[in-house]
Amino acid sequence: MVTQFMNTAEIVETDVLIVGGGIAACLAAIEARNKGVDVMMVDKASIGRGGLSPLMSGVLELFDPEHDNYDDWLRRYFEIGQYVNEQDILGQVIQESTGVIRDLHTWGVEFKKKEGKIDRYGSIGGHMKIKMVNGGIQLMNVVRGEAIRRGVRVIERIMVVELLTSDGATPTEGSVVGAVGFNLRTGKFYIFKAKATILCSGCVALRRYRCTPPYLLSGDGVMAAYRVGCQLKNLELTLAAVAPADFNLAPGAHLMLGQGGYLVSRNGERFMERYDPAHMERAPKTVVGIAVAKEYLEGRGPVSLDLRHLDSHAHAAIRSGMPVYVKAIERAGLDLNRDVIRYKTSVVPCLGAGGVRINIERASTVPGLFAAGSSSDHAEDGAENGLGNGMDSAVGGTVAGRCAAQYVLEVPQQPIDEHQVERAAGKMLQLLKRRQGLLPRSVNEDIETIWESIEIVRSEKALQGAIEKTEELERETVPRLWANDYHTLAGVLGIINKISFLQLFCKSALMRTESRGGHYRLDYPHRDDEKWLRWVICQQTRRGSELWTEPVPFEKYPLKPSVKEN
Amino acid sequence: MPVDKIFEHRCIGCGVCVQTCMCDVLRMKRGKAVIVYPEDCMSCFLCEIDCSRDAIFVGPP
Repeated sequence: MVTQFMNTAEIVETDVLIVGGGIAACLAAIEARNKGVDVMMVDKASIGRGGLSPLMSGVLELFDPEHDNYDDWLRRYFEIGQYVNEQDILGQVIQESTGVIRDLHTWGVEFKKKEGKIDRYGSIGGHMKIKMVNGGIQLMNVVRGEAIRRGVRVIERIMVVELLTSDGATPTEGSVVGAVGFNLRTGKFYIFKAKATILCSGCVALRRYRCTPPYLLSGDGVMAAYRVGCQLKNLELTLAAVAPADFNLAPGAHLMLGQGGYLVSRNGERFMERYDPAHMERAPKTVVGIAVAKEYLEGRGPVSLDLRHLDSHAHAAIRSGMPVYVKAIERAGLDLNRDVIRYKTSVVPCLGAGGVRINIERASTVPGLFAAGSSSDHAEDGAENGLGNGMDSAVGGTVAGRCAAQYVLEVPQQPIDEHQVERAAGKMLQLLKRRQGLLPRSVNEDIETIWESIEIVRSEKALQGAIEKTEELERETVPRLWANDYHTLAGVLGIINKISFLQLFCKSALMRTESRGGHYRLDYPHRDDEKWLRWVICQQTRRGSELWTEPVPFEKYPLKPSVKEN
Repeated sequence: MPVDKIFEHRCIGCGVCVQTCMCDVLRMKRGKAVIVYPEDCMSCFLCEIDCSRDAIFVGPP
């Protein structure tokens, strides 16, 4: 049966294979094509309508070398990131943001303008932001068009199941030489032979938030990278953001807070006064997220978002920037002009930090594999997503495309190992050929329950409990999973990835015995700069799953942490 | 509640929603868009926003 499956497979050869269809993926594709190499994009959804990019509010921070002081910017994000950024990568994102925005503007992405130029407006704290007029939807229409116009080849509705390695082994001692996947509508099996592969496959959605789709963002890329032996880093340094409490909607209130929205506790107090009086609601996302969590923990919930005092310009900016978000709120029967919305803290793993460990070239620790956007470790951010995911992903994708194109000029196409392809096909067929079993829905709920127990407030006990439950899921539930069609097969494979990811996440969070950024440990409530200016790293080796910490190499970086007085 | 209704009399079968839907909830059947996997809908509203005929209704989130 496996042979039959493989005989009908389509073999696709390319220089650079890009997995994903968001802003990082499209800019990687455009940049690699500009260097003259052949590029193939595959996405589980479609290019331009995949992942979180089309849902972006379109507020980006933009460095202008003529007016801004680079050292000030570096220091600012170093402090927001609570010292655990990789400063070389942070510096690169700041400096390259200028060129990336210039390109987007040239291609037709509409930015808010003032006197004919892109309007950079300051917010409290002195950093400068720009705003796309129509948010992520228009952005993605434009970059998709640019990629296709340059001759980037595209195959959509493809789930990548495994990466292929030059030695056929997982973990590998060689390099990544391609991937295998299937079309989740037709079941057609694909073998991709690529000199370089770039993962731009996004973060992991462990909760059934609307707008962080668990079906789509199931960590397929990150976990495939882990299986071939890539190091994963920063998994525990999550982004704690705020989301509506009474209905399912992704975190994304920050445009509203940026426009001047208030967060108030039960007694009507603007409580950010106590957490970050200088920035109030415009404090870094994680500071706001943890503050909201503490208000609830200390009995001052519910917390509400209040936009009633804003003028019509602010309301119009929110409406044009976040059409999806506003539509959802209105469909829930609320009017932003009249109603306050109850809010709570929610955490999107990997959306702040965490994922495939990369260097300044966006290369992973396994040759031939690059990563950008939310599937990378967000090395530039440290413990807080200061520059915003949009800019991180846009620059990350551009650099990955450029460096992968350079890499393919230096390496020959390597043969793939047929046994490895057969093993991947076998894994899929095993799930399809069962006659009955568990369908994904109930298991997604189990994953969400485990995640909720450690999402915001973590402790050794809760994390140990969560690890045990993921092990139980692996033991009891995974062997009973069943796919009755190809769409469901993608769902089932995604569930297996999410369970493995959640386990690694818990182990990383258990190791970090302090609180930093969105990682809030009830048993270690304070930041500990003496012990924990370190990164937590995990890797699958021939000996099994290994986890360790590494000190932040300040000797290589321009900025040193100021010692915190206790 | 996820994507709730496709009004068949308004749907012109252009397939834009089927292309837009990230979670593969919608498919074409006999020239019209139909809801096939509502349990995977994330209520992103993109199908409703991208539909030129106002033929799709997504339920409250």
